[in-house]
Amino acid sequence: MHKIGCNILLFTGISFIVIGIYAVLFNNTSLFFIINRIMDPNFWGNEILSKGTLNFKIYTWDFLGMFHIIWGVNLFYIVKYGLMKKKEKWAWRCIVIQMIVWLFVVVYFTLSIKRNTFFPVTIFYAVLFIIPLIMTKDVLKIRDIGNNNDQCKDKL
Amino acid sequence: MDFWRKYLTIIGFSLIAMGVYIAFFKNTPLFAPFGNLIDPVFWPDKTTTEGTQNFKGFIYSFSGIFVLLWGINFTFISKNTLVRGNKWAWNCLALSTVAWVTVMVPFSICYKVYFNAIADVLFFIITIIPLIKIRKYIYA
Repeated sequence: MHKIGCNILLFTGISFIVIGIYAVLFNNTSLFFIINRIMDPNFWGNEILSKGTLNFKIYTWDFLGMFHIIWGVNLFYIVKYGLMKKKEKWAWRCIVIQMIVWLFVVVYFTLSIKRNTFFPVTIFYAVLFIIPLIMTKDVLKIRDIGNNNDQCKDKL
Repeated sequence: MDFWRKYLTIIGFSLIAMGVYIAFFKNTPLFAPFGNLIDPVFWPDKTTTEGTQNFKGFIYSFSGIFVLLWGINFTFISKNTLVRGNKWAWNCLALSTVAWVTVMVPFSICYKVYFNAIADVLFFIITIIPLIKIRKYIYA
């Protein structure tokens, strides 16, 4: 069960990296039409975008894409080494806190700007985390072995 | 080692604070110092539509959350596992930082958001110094 949960989280991390690369590299191309078709009507309807707005949109999608990549990389490392190999409690708590922050803050913003289109995406992201986190919660029962390999402390 | 670990933890907390600031204060006068540096680059005549304003709010909210999440990861990794000499922890922090700067600085320069390019380079310098200092303990 633990391994399956870890693999789902690993897959989630890799998915974030792929989504991020897609957003960074293709946000200004026709390959990004799916996202544009979902997102743009929420803000602009049939409005024609000015050059400045278009540039801002491309630039900020690059930003969001990079954030997805960074988050995916961090998640991958934490799950693969902290949660999967060493079964450390902090790794599980770290992901839980992120999931809670993500869920509460995004729901708050989604409701505050009345853009209910984003709500299913938020729930989907949350489910991607909640199920594997339940499957891996057995790490909380394991005794910490952290101090056994304190290599750096020895060198001080 | 302990000094640099604490230093990195402070960077993690700073990222969390920065994320909260961006996400929650984007529409307040407190965000004006940043807004005044970014907006004129894209809208020199200061005219934006309601849709664009909403999009700005959306993007800043999500960017803020991601900075916050990055800060949480940064704090947990530097506080819990870097001190044990785990190479993966060092690799994770170094890869995130280098990837960020390598991609975002050229993009910022390309779109003439020079303020952000400078901020990213400063962030890189502040973060890479402790990582270089710690590296000799981890890869020794």
